[in-house]
Amino acid sequence: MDGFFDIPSDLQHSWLGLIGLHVREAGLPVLAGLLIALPLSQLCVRFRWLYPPVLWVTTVLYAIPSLAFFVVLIDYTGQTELTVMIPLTVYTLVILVPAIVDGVRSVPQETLAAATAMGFGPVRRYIQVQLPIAVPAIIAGLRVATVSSISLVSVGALIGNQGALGNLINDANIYNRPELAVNAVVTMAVLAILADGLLVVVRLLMTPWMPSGARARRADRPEPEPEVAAR
Amino acid sequence: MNILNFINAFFSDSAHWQGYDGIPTRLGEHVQYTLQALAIAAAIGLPVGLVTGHYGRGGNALAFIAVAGRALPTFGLLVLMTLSLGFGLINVMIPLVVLAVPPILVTTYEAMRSVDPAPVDAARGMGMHDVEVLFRVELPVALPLILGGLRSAAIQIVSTATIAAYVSLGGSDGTSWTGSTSATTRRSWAAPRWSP
Repeated sequence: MDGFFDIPSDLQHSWLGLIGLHVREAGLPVLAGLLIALPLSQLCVRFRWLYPPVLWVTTVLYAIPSLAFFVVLIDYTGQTELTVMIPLTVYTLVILVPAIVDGVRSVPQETLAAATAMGFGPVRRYIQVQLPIAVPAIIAGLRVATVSSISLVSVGALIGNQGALGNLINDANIYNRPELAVNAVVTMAVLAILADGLLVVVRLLMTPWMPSGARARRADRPEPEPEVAAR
Repeated sequence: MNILNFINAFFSDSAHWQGYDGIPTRLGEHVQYTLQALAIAAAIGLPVGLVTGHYGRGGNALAFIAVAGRALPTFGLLVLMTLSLGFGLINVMIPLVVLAVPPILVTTYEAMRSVDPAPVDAARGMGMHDVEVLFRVELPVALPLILGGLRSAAIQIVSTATIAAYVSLGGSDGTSWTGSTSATTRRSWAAPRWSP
């Protein structure tokens, strides 16, 4: 594998630069998605009738192919990173909204009653009681969202060099250098697995009351596909 | 350009309704890719999920496979397969199958695990053996969830099959590629309507 890290100069980035670009293009949409999903799911928890339509809209948006979404957005936002990040943000909602709603709803009534009896207002109760208990469910959603976001950024290469490590795949095709594609695929897979592991560590740090060690295995079961499973 | 005008002009142009590049041909291709990939993925994911779920083992291994499957970028695999295998159907199928196996596998496993143990015990008490318990008790109960997994896999394949357009045009230069795909992909606006 000669020239494995020999990045063609038309990308104007080193290998590490491409990784940084990739992390930004995949990470910002997940953060933006979380910022949108938190208030949206709170509304869905508060007004129950809102949940099915919200779920339906996010599922339909999720079914739009990423490439089609990018090409349509080019008319409005041009060939920029923003064009790649907007669809990715929209895609995260279908995973994050059900995860947060289910997590917040799973808080037992007596816990809520105890918090109210201790004099917690609705806002404080939400931030200090409901959200922390929902953390495992939210992180489970974030894991799926982050991993699929990292893999989808590469499609941005198809709209003109906006795909970070995906551009490397495009170059592999143009210059007929398969080793570049191997490099890109392996790097993206490793990035995704690292991000996934990082989120697991974050969950362990944020939920010190959860059982760890052998009994936590149960919590590490494969995450069910949250998007449309059984709905 | 107004997108609605474009869609209207595109769909009312009769040239887009016939021939190799016509909407029926392309739609048929899309459905064909989707069904084939879904069938292969189900042939891999369902038996493995059913057996591991029945015996309740290998959950951690499945979790790892699911993460790894999601982590592999479909687009990257597609180009990699094309570069190493040349053009053909198989290099489109492999990435789509890799994309579709994790949801099927994980949901099937989860569905089998979530079956109420009481009827399973009762079935064993009635003298059913493993195969009978699996097919006559657990599978019918778990079926709705399993089909949910197949459904989410199908949605992902339908929306991802669009990037297969890239490799069929891989040799052409940048401009013609952008021009022709914007037509191809705008056409795929029709795709979401078929999926849910």
